[in-house]
Amino acid sequence: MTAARTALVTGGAGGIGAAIAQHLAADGYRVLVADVDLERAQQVADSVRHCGGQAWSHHLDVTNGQSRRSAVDFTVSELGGLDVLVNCAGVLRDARIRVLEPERFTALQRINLVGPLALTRLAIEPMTVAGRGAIINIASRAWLGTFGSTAYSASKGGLVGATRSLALELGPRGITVNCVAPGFINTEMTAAMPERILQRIRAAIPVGRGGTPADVAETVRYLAGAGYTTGQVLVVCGGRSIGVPMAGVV
Amino acid sequence: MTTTTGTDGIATTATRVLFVGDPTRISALTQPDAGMTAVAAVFDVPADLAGAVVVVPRVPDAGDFAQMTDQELDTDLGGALSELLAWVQAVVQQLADSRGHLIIVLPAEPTLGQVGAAMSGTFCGAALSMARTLAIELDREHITVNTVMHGEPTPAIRTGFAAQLQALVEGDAITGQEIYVTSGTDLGRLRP
Ligand SMILES: NC(=O)c1ccc[n+]([C@@H]2O[C@H](COP(=O)([O-])OP(=O)(O)OC[C@H]3O[C@@H](n4cnc5c(N)ncnc54)[C@H](O)[C@@H]3O)[C@@H](O)[C@H]2O)c1
Repeated sequence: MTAARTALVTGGAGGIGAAIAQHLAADGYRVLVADVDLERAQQVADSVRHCGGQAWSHHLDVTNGQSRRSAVDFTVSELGGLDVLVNCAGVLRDARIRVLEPERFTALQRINLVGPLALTRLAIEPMTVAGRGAIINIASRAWLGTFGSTAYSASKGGLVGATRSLALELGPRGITVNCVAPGFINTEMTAAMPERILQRIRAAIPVGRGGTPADVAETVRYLAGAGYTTGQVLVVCGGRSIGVPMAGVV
Repeated sequence: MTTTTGTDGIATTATRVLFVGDPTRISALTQPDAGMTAVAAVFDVPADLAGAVVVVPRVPDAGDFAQMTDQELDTDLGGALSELLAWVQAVVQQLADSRGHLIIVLPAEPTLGQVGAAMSGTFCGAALSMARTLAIELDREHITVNTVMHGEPTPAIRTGFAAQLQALVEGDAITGQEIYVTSGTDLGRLRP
């Protein structure tokens, strides 16, 4: 991996995004930490630099066209190109189908699916000119279906669907497109869940623990440089997508 | 449920199967004598639902992804997803107190991945995952949720499609499944 490569990480201020920024920077990438929460994005960029990496921060609201354009332009002009896009920004505000409000569904799709796709469309421009690139979409094991998760699972399934068609379309241009589907990962997003549910989730993970942001970041790091792997979903879930370790636990 | 034989010779069910969604896609897939009634393309699910509803959603057009505007992504993709949610919620509402069957029908090619079909592929992926979640959620209500992917609607595919639907509206043992009625065009490909 060369030091000149660049990466734009959306949701870079979050638990998983920050770990991805750290891991890519450790591999020599110049990283833009982009997030709607600029203050935390700055903190993440500071901590990457503190560890010897090269990082910048930028305000990005993935639902806003101008903001998306600004993040891509900043990466190209200030960091020197755009080699890797990690679509990691996401929210988990969901409900069961019988009580899900359509407005909530639409708002979630804009953040988790439509915004990332629109950003991807912009990122393809410099990647096509350079003849190389890697797009990594952070989906979720919820793409396989999860109770109470109509909007979230649909958004992540949408990312998987986009990944497959775009991998076919962009492969000839030297651009790979992959998904990482984390299972349960200990971050602020999951810390907000009730303890009772958290206990049940952990008990159902074959490796016996929740994942860490670093577990996901390792996979992203691999995909960022893996030119022969494209259109795939790498599931980082401690084995939970295969089954549960004990009968009776769901 | 009574079984009759359609003009094409395949056994069909007399149980009413209601089709809702995109009228063009519905008419391409259904056979007049398959014992299944194609119904309106409006958001209007009758209250006397017989327990089996096939949602044939409007799938956003394929098109050059690089040329797509933000507006198109938001209205075509976001709009089609909202429409699917509206259909599904309307259907599920009517199935509230009964055992029932929900079948979502998607085109196989964009579901599997297709050049020039990023937006339709995205939609199909989202619909597939929504169906998986619905199968999990509605299992306790004895409502089955399955997805059927179809190839170009040739006579063979239309016949296979009708037979497949019939299998899915028998009892509640089959739920959360994804069946490809493609005459084999999808073989050798990893499924989403
Ligand atoms: N934590 C898990 O268990 C888990 C599991 C599967 C998938 N994921 C996915 O991983 C990704 C990161 O999750 P996390 O656990 O780090 O969550 P997090 O809440 O810690 O981070 C998400 C980040 O996205 C940012 N964000 C939200 N809306 C935004 C917008 N409109 N524009 C730009 N940024 C925005 C937030 O400010 C936040 O920094 C998400 O896409 C999530 O769906 C997480």
